[in-house]
Amino acid sequence: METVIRGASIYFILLVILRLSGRRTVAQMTPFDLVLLLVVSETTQQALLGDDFSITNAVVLMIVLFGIDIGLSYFKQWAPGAARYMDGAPTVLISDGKVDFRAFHRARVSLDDVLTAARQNQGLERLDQIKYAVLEADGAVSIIPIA
Amino acid sequence: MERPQIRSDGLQLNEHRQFQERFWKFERVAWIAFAVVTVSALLGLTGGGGPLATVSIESADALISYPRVARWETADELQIALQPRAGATERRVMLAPEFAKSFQLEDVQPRPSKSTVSDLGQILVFDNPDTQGGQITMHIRAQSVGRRSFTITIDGGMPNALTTYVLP
Repeated sequence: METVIRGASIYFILLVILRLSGRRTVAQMTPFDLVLLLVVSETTQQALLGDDFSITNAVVLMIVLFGIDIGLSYFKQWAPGAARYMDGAPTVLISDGKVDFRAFHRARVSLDDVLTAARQNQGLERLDQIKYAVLEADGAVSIIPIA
Repeated sequence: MERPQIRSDGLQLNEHRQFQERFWKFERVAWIAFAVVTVSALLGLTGGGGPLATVSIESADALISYPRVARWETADELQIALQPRAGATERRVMLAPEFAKSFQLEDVQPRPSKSTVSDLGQILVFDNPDTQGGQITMHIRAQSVGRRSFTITIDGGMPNALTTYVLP
């Protein structure tokens, strides 16, 4: 019983903290984010397992975590409103060539981030070559160039 | 399945901007909560050390320091500084039954010369030949979560009421 409670509690606590910390910490990984991820994974490992290092505990825990994940995927299909809270929604940063500075500021994305994505994904050189830039729900920046 | 609308600028996606504006505000409130939790942890209000992590109560028999906030299944210390007592060659520390229900007593320094149990609780007897008081350290581990109250009685005097909040 304790394994199930530990697994479910840590899963949901981590989900809430990651979601509230903003999406930048998930997809756009800087060296600081990598350090954060390593430390968080080590911390949660202790809380998940406690002092029980048996294979039974590990197997039960894995099944609980995958089970919650599968259950939540069905729940998100059934309740799209709740899915927005859990996964977030895309944010249009540049619309038809116009930069939405408020969206940049609130989503904590810089023009450098967008230009980096434009160079990496589309081989673009300048901001004025970008028609649309969208900060996707997974934290990646999609670029659509001016045709 | 919801089909995203085509926006006036030609993009086909559901941005849900009002939801995002609300969520961005909520995010910032959450960051304040993160800061509050961090400051509370530095102060010791989440257990694990800090200026407010322990509390002391003083009576005629002893000064007892114990965790104000403890963590479930985590080692902590309860210290009893016995006041000198003329003519007493042994000192008795009685832990109420509520203590045993909530905490595991892992170790006691120094070791008691005798340990007995009654319906009033567990009595630890310490030899104290020089009658000058002394320091007793109990290494305890919380076994249940929530507000835990118990009493410690020294030499059959007035019970000292202690309350510890055990976090999960």
